[in-house]
Amino acid sequence: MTMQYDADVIVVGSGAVGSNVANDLAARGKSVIMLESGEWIPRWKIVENFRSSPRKNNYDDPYPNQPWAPTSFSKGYIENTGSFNLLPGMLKLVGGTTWHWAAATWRFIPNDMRLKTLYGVGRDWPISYEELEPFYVKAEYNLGVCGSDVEDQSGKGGQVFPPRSKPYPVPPEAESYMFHRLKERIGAEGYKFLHEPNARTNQPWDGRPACSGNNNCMPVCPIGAMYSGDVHARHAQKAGAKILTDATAYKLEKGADGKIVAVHYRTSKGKDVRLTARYFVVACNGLETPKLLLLSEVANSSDQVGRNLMDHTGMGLQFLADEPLWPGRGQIQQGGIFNWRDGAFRKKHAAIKHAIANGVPNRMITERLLKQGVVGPELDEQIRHMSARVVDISTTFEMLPHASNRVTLSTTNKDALGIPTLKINYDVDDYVKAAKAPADKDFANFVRIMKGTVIEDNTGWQNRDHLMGTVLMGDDPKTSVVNGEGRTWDHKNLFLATTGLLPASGVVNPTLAAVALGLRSADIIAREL
Amino acid sequence: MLALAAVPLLPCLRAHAVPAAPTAPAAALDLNRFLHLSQVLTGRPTLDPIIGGRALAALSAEDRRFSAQAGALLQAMTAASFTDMRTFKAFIAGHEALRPVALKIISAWYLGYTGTPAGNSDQDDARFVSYAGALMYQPTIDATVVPTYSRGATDYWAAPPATLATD
Repeated sequence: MTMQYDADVIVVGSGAVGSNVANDLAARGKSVIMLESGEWIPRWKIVENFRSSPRKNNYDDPYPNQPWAPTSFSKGYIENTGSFNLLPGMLKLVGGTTWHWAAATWRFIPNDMRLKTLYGVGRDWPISYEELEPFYVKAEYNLGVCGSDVEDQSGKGGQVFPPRSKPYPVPPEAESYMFHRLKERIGAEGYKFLHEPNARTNQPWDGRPACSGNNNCMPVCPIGAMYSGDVHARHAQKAGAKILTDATAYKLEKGADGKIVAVHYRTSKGKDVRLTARYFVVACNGLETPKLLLLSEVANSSDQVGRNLMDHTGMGLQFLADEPLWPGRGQIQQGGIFNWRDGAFRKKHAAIKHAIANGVPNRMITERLLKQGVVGPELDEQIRHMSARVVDISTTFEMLPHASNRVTLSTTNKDALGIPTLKINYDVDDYVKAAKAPADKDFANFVRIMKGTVIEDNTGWQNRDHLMGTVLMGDDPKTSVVNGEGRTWDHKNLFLATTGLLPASGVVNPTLAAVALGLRSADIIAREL
Repeated sequence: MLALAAVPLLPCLRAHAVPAAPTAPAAALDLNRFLHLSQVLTGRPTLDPIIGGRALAALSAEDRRFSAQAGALLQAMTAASFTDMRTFKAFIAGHEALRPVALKIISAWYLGYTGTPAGNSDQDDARFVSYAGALMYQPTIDATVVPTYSRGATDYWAAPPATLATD
């Protein structure tokens, strides 16, 4: 007797990763249903919400925030119990949180994936760079990534690295004047500046226009030059996938043979629906994915679900340079300084990335001047003088996985659907703390070279919204949640597709790797169906 | 007092109800006087009255004392024939109690919001005044954009602003 299924594959979550997985499978003729907590929202509405918001520093604010599909900033949604307040800005709408990312799309280099073997700390990835490489290519072409085909992305100033089987789909955008001047002066002392590969295309790509420097990548690109997950949600739909909105998954149902037989979702009207499929892919971001597994009591024989949470915890530097550089022209970030991306030092302390922020600085400068009581013509003069000169460095560190850094279900709070909200325990580790001194030394050098006046050089630890490790990959079912395919050890037909897979954080933005891993999982699922 | 059975009442009025006292006093400062005060404080000969209306409403809603304090500030400025913000420091030293309201008005026009916007919460007391019209963008408008209002083509950012030599 043949089983009837609602779909070949159900993908939970319509963000960049889930939508790429769903599109890939649908394009290969598989029947796909996608479940999304939130709704389809057109770009123009987000742009209008942004323009009329009084809180431009709040990247979730322009986005829908419903009691049944809240943003992560919704009161009480995330409760922190550790020494650091981990509070990333996460969204619930079709396309997910890449609506308000900065579209940094790096590949992890081979040494990032062998942290334990090479440096004796943390964990190795269970797959090699070579195995993932073809899927990085697919992900880069899907997202329209622009990048340098000549730079050494390990930050050593050598030959092009890591190896690529195909060039970047789009060449890099022009260097901004500021980036060029910083590279000339700070680079002269041996600091290695790299272009950041990014999905803010500077040539028309896949129906998206070229970037024209609206300088608002976070929280919304007004013209869609910057990639966001809704691009592939639309592609998936065109390829035949069915996207159900207002559909919050709350349970994966186990069958007798250990496979997952169904997913249950709830609507804002309180209606519960059960759907069956041959395969399930949970692509709900690094916090919501472990949450669904914990709610369902599946995939956790290792007791690692929700644990090993790693962000690229960071810190910042702001100073006034001695010459006008004019940040704010072009995209909100373009690259950074990568001397500490890799090396033997990783035995002792975290890798470090110094990203150079390129946002229009007027609000930050003016708030500061007003707090100091500056008014009148002097206020206008200082706004111009300082805005032209401010250098804003956003530094990130590599974290290690720790079982005590974890996301669990709240025992005291539920959302409007009756689903427990999130509890996080996060402490910054000694590996990161040991990297602060070399980072501070770099800060002092940057200020000295640019004959700068410090505005702020002791920000304390900061969120960077990169959620890794919470459903990590490994080669041992006792110590990991999924294998190198993204397949859960406990349930053969349950795959996870999220940055939560990464067992080692490296020091670069993880979304491209998550898309690549997801596409690799889709490839495996398609062959088995 | 209005409850005469023979007279049909509007659905929103109940016979026994007494309208609640307003939670904020009626504005003592009208828009015209607020605009005049704002023009002096921001050093602008004219200001957009629509933005002014939003600023006045936001500042009044935020603090019941705003209207009276702003009125007092305007009165003090008029009495002193104060119009030149370059001498604000000396002027306000004689009216320290009015310094906060002066800064609040300047902030509302420059930043385009009142209150304290929360960066990672959906609870705060911020109110919208303006975005593209926020005065903080004016001093640099030739060189950088108000984000989401690009004026250039791809790669325009490779060149520095035309004013670089004298910036």
